[in-house]
Amino acid sequence: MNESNSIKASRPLKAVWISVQIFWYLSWVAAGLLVLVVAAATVVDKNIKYAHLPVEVSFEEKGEDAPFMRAQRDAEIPVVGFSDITMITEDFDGINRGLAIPLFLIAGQLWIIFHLRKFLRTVKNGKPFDPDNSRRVKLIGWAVTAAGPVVGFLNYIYALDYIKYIDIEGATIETDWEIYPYVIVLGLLILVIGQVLDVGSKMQREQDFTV
Amino acid sequence: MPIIVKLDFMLVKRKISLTELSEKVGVTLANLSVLKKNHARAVRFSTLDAICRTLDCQPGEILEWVEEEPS
Repeated sequence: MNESNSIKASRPLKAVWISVQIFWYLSWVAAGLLVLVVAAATVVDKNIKYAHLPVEVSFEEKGEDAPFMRAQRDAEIPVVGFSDITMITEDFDGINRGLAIPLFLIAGQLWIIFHLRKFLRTVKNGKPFDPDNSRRVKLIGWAVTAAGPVVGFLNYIYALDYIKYIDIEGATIETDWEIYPYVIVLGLLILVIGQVLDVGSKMQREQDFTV
Repeated sequence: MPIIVKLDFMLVKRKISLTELSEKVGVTLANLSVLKKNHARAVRFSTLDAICRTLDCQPGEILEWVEEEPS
């Protein structure tokens, strides 16, 4: 069996490794901060002010002054312009569910970067066609492909929570389940790369057993 | 694999150890061991040339084709 080649890490590879490491540690920091925010939201006063809500508001008639409207639970919602809405309500529970979505995304991000780090380590050690690498990359590819419709669906559910608490006279409030096609294409690209690594690992194995 | 490597037979015949052969041929002991145990998938002509030159033999004396039994 051929000895594994110790490839000296090139500058681009080092740059990629450093970037992945930075993202890895920043993701943990973001996850920690998000957990703290969720905890704080459940403990302290629930008056929350948002510059934008995840819903679309369209008016049939535009007036000079933005109208006031009332939410179902007697919370007053002043409208600033036609799309900026400030919502203050004491009983609104959508915050925690809304924060669960970024937590879910960060968990997914951490999982992807975890596998990416393992993959880069094998590349640094001169074994880019390690049989486990194609499996890792394919897993990442499937996760990214699924993220296209799943993240859109989660955002849709999140927006539905807000719609229940907003009632604007003369306005149509709606939200859509947006599927992100570019994310799906990216996931498919990663899957193709996983297949290429599969072929590469078979070629590497042939090479390893060539005397 | 239908190709059988009879390297151990030639080593005995020429009274040379695998370690000595690896030093003379310039192939690692691990690789020669892979070859001897019939685990190799391919052999380079340069390696075959070095082995035959060292053992003073023909390739046919260390390689034999055996028809594979249908599974």
